[in-house]
Amino acid sequence: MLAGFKTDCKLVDAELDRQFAGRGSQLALEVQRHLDECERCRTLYSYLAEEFPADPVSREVEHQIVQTIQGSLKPVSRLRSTAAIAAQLMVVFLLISAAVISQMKLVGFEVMNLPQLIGISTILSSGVVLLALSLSWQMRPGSLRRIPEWASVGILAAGLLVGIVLLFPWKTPDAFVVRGWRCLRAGLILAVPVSLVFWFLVRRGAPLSPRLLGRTLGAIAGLLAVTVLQYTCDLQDIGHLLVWHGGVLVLSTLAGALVGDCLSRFGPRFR
Amino acid sequence: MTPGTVRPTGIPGVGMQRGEPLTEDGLRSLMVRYQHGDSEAIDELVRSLSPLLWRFFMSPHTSRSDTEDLLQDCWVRIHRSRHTYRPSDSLLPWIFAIARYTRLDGYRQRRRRESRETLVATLPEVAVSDEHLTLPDTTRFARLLETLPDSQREVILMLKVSDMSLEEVARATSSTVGAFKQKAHRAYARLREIIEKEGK
Repeated sequence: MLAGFKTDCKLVDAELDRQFAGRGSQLALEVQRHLDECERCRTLYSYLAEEFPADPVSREVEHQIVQTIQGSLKPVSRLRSTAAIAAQLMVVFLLISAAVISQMKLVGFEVMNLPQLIGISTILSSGVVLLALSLSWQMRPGSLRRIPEWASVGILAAGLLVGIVLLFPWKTPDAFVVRGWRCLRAGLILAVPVSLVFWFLVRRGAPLSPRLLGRTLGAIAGLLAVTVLQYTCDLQDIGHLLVWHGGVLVLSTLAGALVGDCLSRFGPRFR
Repeated sequence: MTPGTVRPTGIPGVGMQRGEPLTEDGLRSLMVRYQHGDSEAIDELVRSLSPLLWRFFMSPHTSRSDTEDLLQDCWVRIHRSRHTYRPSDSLLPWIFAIARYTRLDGYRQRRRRESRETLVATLPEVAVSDEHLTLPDTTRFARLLETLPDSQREVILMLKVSDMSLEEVARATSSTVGAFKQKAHRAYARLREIIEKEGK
């Protein structure tokens, strides 16, 4: 009985969704019937339907705001579309990674077989698209997110983890820490200037959350470092890739999140 | 909006002080003129949208001066970000996305400020000052909203006060439509519980 009651209440929730989605028309018969029977739903529905009275804002405050803004009012050129910004970020990613890789030996290419090359390249490029989209959404307040921001980094990390485990072999570690540390250090050293380049590109937008921006910038810089390492490192086994190459992505993302968090906490002092 | 009817063409609360609700198209054209440096457009935008933002920033825990600070801070942020608005998009999600973070930052600042303050003497008990704002007392619903947790209150306020659609509110809250619907349903459930308790 109670379960049926709750289901009927959910009809009202769905009706409210419909109304707020702007597709509202006459109430469906079953919703109307439920509203007649259920007092709490009827009350909720009528509350949500009634007008909210407008509150007076002090004229003086409005005047101050207008004065402040008019003091620095000048025409501005609009930010490009989200798709154009994402494309720009992807091109920059491609150019930087190609430039760095061209300065190094392409040992990774020679060591990987075709399925490994295709598989890991697909995962890396999907990651670039996800993060570039996430950054472009963050640059424009009120953008419609097709994918939640927290999911972009999560999907990338999960994709890399699964891809590496499925595509690459287990091998007995050969100087695991010494050679791994070399990759980790090189990756992190590369990630720092790359994150600054991307910050330079996104600073024209209006990112609202420094924490989120820092994390995404850290992730995209880390991903670029992972991409370079992937094609230039001769150790292509699961342990090395997950711990040391994956470590670059994790540490870079965490560092970005930390910087963003500090800016978020102490932001007003910097603004 | 009355039960069973579609959303009105004018936006409730927007431009109400002049008795002429502005349409979404009207707001967009004002925003475009503002981007081109038209000082009359910003004057009209501030007067049209401030009542909505004011209502969004009000809470039982915010003083009038804090609410005024939030409103001013929000307009400064809108001014700094004005180049990021595109006329092909709705204006309200863009405005409320900025307002939402202004509110969050204001809350954090207030928390920091309060944590630095030390109680040096026992304060006399006083009645709640008029300085503290409450939502308009004319509706029971306004009072009911005050009992909701802040995140759920924000959901209902955005849907109701601004009369934005689900997709627009999802945009304003940097969320997906599905995730926002879930949040809204949790808020409805909580409101039902409170209504039921009040009824007993």
